[in-house]
Amino acid sequence: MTDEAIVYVVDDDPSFRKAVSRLLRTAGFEVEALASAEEFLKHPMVDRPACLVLDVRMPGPSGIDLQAALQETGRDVPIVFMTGHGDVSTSVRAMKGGAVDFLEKPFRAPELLACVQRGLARSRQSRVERAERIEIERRYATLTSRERDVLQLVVTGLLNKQIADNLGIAEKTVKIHRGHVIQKMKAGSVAELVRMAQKLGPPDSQAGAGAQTL
Amino acid sequence: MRLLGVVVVALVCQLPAWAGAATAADVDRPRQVLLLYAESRLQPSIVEADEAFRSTVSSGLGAPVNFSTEFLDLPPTSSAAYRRRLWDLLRFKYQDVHFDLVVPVSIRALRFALDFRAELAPGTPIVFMAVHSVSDLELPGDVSGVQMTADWMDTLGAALRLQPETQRVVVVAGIAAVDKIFLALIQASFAHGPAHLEFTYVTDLPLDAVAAKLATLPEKTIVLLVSFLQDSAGRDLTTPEALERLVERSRVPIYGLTDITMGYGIVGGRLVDYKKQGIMAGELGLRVLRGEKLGPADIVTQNTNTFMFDARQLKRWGLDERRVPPGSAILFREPSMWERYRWPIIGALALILLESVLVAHLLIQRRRRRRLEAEAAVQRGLLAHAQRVTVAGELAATLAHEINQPLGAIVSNAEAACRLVERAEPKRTDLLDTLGDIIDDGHRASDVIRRLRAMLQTGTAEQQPCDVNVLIAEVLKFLKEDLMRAGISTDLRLRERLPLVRGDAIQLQQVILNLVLNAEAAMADGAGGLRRLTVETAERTPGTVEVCVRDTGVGVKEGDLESIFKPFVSTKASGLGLGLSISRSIVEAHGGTIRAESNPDRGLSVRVELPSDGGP
Repeated sequence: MTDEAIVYVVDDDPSFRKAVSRLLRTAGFEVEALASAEEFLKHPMVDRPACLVLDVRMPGPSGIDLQAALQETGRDVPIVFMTGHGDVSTSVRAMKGGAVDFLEKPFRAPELLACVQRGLARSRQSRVERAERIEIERRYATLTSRERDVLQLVVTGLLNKQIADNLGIAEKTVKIHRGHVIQKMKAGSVAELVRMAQKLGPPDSQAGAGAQTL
Repeated sequence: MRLLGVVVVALVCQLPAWAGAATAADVDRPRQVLLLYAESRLQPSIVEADEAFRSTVSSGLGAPVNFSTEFLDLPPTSSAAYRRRLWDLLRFKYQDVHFDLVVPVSIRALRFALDFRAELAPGTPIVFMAVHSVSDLELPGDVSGVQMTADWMDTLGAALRLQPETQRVVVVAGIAAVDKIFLALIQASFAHGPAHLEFTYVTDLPLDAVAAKLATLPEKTIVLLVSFLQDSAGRDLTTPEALERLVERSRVPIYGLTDITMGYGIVGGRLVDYKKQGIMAGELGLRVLRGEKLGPADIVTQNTNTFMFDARQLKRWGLDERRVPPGSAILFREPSMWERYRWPIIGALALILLESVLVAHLLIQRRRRRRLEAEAAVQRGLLAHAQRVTVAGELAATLAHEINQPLGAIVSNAEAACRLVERAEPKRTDLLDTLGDIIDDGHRASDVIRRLRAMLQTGTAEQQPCDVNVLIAEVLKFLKEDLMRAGISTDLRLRERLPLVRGDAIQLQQVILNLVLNAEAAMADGAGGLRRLTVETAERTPGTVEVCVRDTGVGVKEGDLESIFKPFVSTKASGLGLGLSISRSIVEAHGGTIRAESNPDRGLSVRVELPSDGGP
């Protein structure tokens, strides 16, 4: 895993593609220029912060089509859309789909660069979050079934005695499980444990996530 | 033998007559009439009177009439012995003929008839004519006839009415017996003529001398031609012959005495009417032949002379036709164009009128048609323009993209260039590259705008030679992006060296644009499968250029192939239905045709055929 960011420029117009790529390169970005959505989908993805500068209107699948395809395959690349003729419905769809921004050609360099920066920041952020979530899931996977039950009840704010009653076990046993959970999850406090549990999501997905991670 | 044969035949032929009743045979036998003329030859007056008499008698009498005619050639000085011999000859000649009527014409013939009738045709009644006076004759009881008035004061009066300023009257006569008789008569007439008139008698001269004399007559003179059957040189003439010669030379109008000179140059007068004489004598003769007994009491003494004038002569001498005596006959009136060609004129006028109406109608129609055509052209232009604007609106996204693409590239490149320059050590090649790209994109953007402007122009139907292939290429360049985005592959089959077409490039491009957009829409509507647009040009028949736009789209139902060219007929949900109708009106305005046909496999072909401008 490297932190070296990359900017993909996808536009069917060669001269425009070249111009935008040139601009981004002069601004210090590493740029990969591609002519169509298909080309981008076929392109091997490297695990690094990335931002996609994407033209809306292209022969074949449009930019919006590509955005949907990426979401479906779970590839999370922040997208900066560009369009020669922006219409409201397209831009709304793009933004709802999580686009960083929607730029109308011709745009100024600072606009594009700011968007690309934001995209990359979001990419970095999501990479960090994803790494963190993977770690928490990994830790969660080490818990026993009883420890998971206790964790569930601890994060809801119940006292040990209440948990013991709820689970039909001794309060002392609850204390021991609780100590294991905090230790295994490497949580400094109950508050941190609660934050971790939130990241794991509801119990069903926790199980799923856990299974996946395992 | 031969003579005998003739006699036998004659007898046989006469047999039926003998068989019939004697009285009936007597009634039915041809009536015998003897006409006696004092002259030696056929004068015009004789012809006229003779013809009138014969036709009156022949047509009036039920029975056949045999006319025998004798020209007695009685000179005024003929001796009794001469007349005796002549009479003997006639008696010998007509010994087997029983005359029913003897008709002497003129006073001399009457005298002769009276002298010898007892021997030639005893008991045969006489009906005379053209006899001016019987006062010094002793007429038997079976003699009647028609008198000829020998008083020409009325002629002189008429001449003075026409020419009131007249001072002199020149009377011209020949030297023949008749001439002399007439001259004497007229001298008698004018003996009591108006005192202010000077009468001169020209006679005893050769005709040419008379003519020469008439050529020198002073104004305010009139000539009266009496009769001219012989001139002093002994030349026999007829009065009309003499008259024609005189009229040629005369400086003044000539008046006449008898109707036989009418038409030969006399102005007119109260003329002896020989025809009337003949008719009246014929009527008397008819009564005699029918068995009526006529005598001197039945002699017609009334003035049978008729006022007659020659319209041509009146006109020639500048005489006022309105001044002729009332009841005058105006002969030889030059029929006016109207009288002469009345029906042709009416016909021609009607034709001209009809033609004028037709021409006017056609002109009005043509004007109306031209106005309508001009209006239609304006309307077509406006409609076509509106449609182009609509198409442009539909293509707005494409257009914006087309324009913003190079603009975006320019801006980005320019910004990149700025950054390159700001670097400590800018690379010249990078900068030049960037600037070169900016220039290219600038041209690209202006190209798009030029094409757009061309399309949005309000076509003022400029006729110029156009290369259809070039028009198609430009349209497709314009639509390239759009077609590409719609996933349509384009197949261009443009024939090389295609003849030029005379027309409005923008309007023709619009037709192509419409057809391509229709093809695109037809393929966009359809389900998946091959999306191919084929644009083909050909010179299928010499003198024409064919453009065929073929698609693989949904096609059109066979029954709708014609109606899609009607306005407001559309197979597209959002279509106005004007594209093809405008296309057709444009094509037809260029003298071409447009039709649609279904492809054998799928989709539609639209063929446009335009007349080419001449050589390739």
